[in-house]
Amino acid sequence: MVDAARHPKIDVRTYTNVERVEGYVGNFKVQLREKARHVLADRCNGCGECSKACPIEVPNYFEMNLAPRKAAYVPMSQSVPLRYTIDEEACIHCYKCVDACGALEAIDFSQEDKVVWEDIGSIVVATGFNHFDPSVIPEYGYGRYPNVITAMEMERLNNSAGPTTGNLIRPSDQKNPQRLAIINCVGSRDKRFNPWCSNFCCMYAIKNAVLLKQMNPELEISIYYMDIRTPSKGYEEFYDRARSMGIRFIQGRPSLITEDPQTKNLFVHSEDVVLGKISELEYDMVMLNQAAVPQPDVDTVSSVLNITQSPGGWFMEYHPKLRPVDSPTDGIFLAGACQGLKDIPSSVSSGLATASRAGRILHSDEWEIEPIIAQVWEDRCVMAQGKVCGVCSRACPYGAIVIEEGKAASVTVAKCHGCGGCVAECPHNAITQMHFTDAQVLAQMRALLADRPEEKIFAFRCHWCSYGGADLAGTSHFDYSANERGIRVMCSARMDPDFIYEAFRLGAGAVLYSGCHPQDCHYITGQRVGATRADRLQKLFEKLEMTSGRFRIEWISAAEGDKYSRVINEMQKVIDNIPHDQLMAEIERLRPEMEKRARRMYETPGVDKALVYSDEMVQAITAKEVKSGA
Amino acid sequence: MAEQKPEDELRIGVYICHCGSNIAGVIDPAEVAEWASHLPGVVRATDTLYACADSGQTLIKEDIKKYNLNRVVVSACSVRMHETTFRAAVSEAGLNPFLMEMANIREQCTWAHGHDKDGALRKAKDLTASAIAKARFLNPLTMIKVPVTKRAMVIGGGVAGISAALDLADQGIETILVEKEPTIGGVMAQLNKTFPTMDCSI
Amino acid sequence: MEHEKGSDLRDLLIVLPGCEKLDMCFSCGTCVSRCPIQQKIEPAYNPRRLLKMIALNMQQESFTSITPYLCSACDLCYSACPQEIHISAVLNGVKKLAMQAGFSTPLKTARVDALTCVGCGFCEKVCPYQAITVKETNVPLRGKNLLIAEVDGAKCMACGTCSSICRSNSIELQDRENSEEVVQDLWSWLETVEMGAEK
Repeated sequence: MVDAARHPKIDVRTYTNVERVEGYVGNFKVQLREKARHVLADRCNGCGECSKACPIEVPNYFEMNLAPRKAAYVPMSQSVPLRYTIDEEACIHCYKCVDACGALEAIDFSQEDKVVWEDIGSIVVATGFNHFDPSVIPEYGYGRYPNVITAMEMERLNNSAGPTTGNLIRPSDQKNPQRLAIINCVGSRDKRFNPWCSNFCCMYAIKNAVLLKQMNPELEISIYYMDIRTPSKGYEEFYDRARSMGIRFIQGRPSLITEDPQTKNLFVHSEDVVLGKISELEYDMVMLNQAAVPQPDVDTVSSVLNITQSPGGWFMEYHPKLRPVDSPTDGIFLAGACQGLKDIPSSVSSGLATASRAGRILHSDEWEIEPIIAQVWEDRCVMAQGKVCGVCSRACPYGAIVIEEGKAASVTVAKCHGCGGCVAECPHNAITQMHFTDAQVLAQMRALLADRPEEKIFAFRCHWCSYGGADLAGTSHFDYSANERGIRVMCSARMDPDFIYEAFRLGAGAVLYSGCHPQDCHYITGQRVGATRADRLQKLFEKLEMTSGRFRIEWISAAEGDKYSRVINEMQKVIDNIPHDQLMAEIERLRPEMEKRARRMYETPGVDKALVYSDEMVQAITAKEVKSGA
Repeated sequence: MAEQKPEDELRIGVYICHCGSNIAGVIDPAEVAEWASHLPGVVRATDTLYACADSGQTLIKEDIKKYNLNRVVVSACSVRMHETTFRAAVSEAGLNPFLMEMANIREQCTWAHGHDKDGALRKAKDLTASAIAKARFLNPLTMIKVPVTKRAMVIGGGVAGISAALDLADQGIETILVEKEPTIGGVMAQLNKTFPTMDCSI
Repeated sequence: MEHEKGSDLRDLLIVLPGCEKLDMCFSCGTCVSRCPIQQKIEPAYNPRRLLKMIALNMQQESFTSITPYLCSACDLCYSACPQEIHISAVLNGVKKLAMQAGFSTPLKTARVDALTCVGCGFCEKVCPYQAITVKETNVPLRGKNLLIAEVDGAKCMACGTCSSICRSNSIELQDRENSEEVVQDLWSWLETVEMGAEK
């Protein structure tokens, strides 16, 4: 901690929030809000006179609210930096601190939040985790029984720097407990609350037991567990040590804690599963080893940084094995528990790994990004003909399209991230996206729907989420109908209505329109552009009396392989439930309407060639099918 | 838009990967290759045991020269897995990396349809045809080079964030460490001793 | 043992409503200790062990175990189970399969005396397990057919509620000859309790 503050290259900004992030790899702009501490950092010498003078006491979060702090405070005596903060919410403006500070004149009540912008090349996200509140589990009585405490409270109670200077006492009568129970997996591995294993709690229970036993060998300690997980170097040996110290391990998850109202002692009810017998043992104190959960503001961080989440609320890595500290956004990296729960050695390792990954970029003079950006055909843009438009500019999440009266729209290359929203939105097909042109997509669609299209489920997937979801379905071997045929574009914003019309015109049995969840979008608001359009399409198809379920909208993240598989199978059922001749009749009935609507796409430059080529392709495919079928 | 060149003769090479038994255990890659060889523009189609391995990449690189290929299609795994690998391979053989297209016949075909071998085969053919069709309209592109601001930001001053910041700073990179609370340290600063060595946490 | 696909005890159970999460049990023992009354009465009662026996396809042992028959479906364990397994549904499933396989309940279930039953239907109304139905026989009585209560052995939990409400003493648990004896038993038990309390 102190090293970080002293390092000449590190600028520590505490009491500061990240509010906005713009830009792209190598060129991020980050907006920070430095909250007003009402203390001038360059004048405060950390003497603490203000705190002594302050008459207000509030619970200190750092001590798990077991001890008070003043309104003028540092969370702990070893705070880094050692600068006092005046808590605006608790302060009654008596100004005793100002007098106490005296000639230093470090306290300034006129200070306001400061908003600054910083230019940054690469960002490491290390926002950590939060503690589960066990009071929502009624059977353990946390909050009702004074002598049931959480692991973090225990951490402060047996800490020599804590409120009791390391003297472990029972909250009910301040006596030292003689019998202590530690209960593992409180809120973890529990489908009612958090299904995951919180990773470090087994070792954490053992650590506390060993520490307490060292301090007081007379203390009887029992650890209730379901499984003990000690998979790292030296951990199993540590577990052995705990056993040899006489710490009792009881396999069985307690179902209930009851309290003796007189003594405030506690009875832990469990089955000892090894014996197959129920036990009700009496303890003076119970420590709940609570689950670790994502930070409460994880959704805000997600949307500020445009990084996606895995189930449960952990930030999603680019690849779980090969690129575990990269976020899907180039130049943003994930360190520590915010990506998934880690103990201290693993958190440090991942922190160091991000430094190396970010260093690759930051030591380069320039960085290469994929050229899959939007480009305008100036002769097709109606703005150039003096008409009013600007649809493309409104669809762009990055403000990358410049609109000037009388001039064709133009794309600022460095700002364009290549979602393709503008391309799909342009009513005149005057914009294209490199590597995902209309001609390319059209040629692909025709090839996929060449043979018996009415049996096919045609799926449009965005690269970052639903394509990844489909990958995960395969990796996990969640079988789904082999009639699925998919096309990948970068974002659901690129899924041009013309593509959907064309898919139905070609006779597709069903069409899936899928992308990320709104808060996960890799392109800020790209998904919203896609979603608005998809809803419009849905309404249109309802009006055209298309069988419901043939067009389906689903938002599927890269972590939802099971969902992808389920959705495809459900769509297969929709097709199966329509009698074949009825389906064919519906396809024929809608074809002229679809053709009318898709027609405009055929005028797009390059598409004419795609049509000729794909006709050849379709001929070759169907001819070949006939031959191999014979 | 970079104008499409007045068409040189289209010469597509198609490679169907076995991926050991991951793909070949469900479908016959040789059959897909034979089938693909009849599609318009395809001048070379073959199966290969591991397209991503040295041997597979060498085959593609040699073929580009031997058959004068101007488009390459690799039917193998997910683009999230090996797109960069094959882009690098074709560019080593002098082809623009964006003239390579992949079809995902592993994650999105054989792994997902292991119990429907006929269906998987039909799908693998279609996906390969689709990649070939896209390849026909691929344009050579060049990567966009952007400047790099040589400053890092670490969000969160816990043990992971401090480690990252210290290492970045030691590399000589100016680093801003942002923390929402009044002190850095995170959860670790609240702990007593830490396992398994029982040393102090601060 | 005969081994066909789908014939394992687990396969037969998992398709029954409420048994979907049967495989998820990791033997934590919460259900056993959350249900202390049953185990105090009968130490062999152990739903965790039954779930394990199902996983190991121990069909014979599961069907002869006391556990499925003693569960009263209060569902305290269900609300406490970290894997959200509806244990009483699984136990009930095992009981049903056991009955189908020709096993009979070890409980002393209720029995109707057809000679005195008047078919009033009080017992049907009060039975907490819907084990009793009043059925029409083909014996004519005053222009109608005679009605008689019938007990479903698979559902009866031998609680005795029916017996206590019956006006004609026509329904009794199998180990009881008549209600007077039950009352006598209760009195003697209460006396021992009182004596215990005085000590």
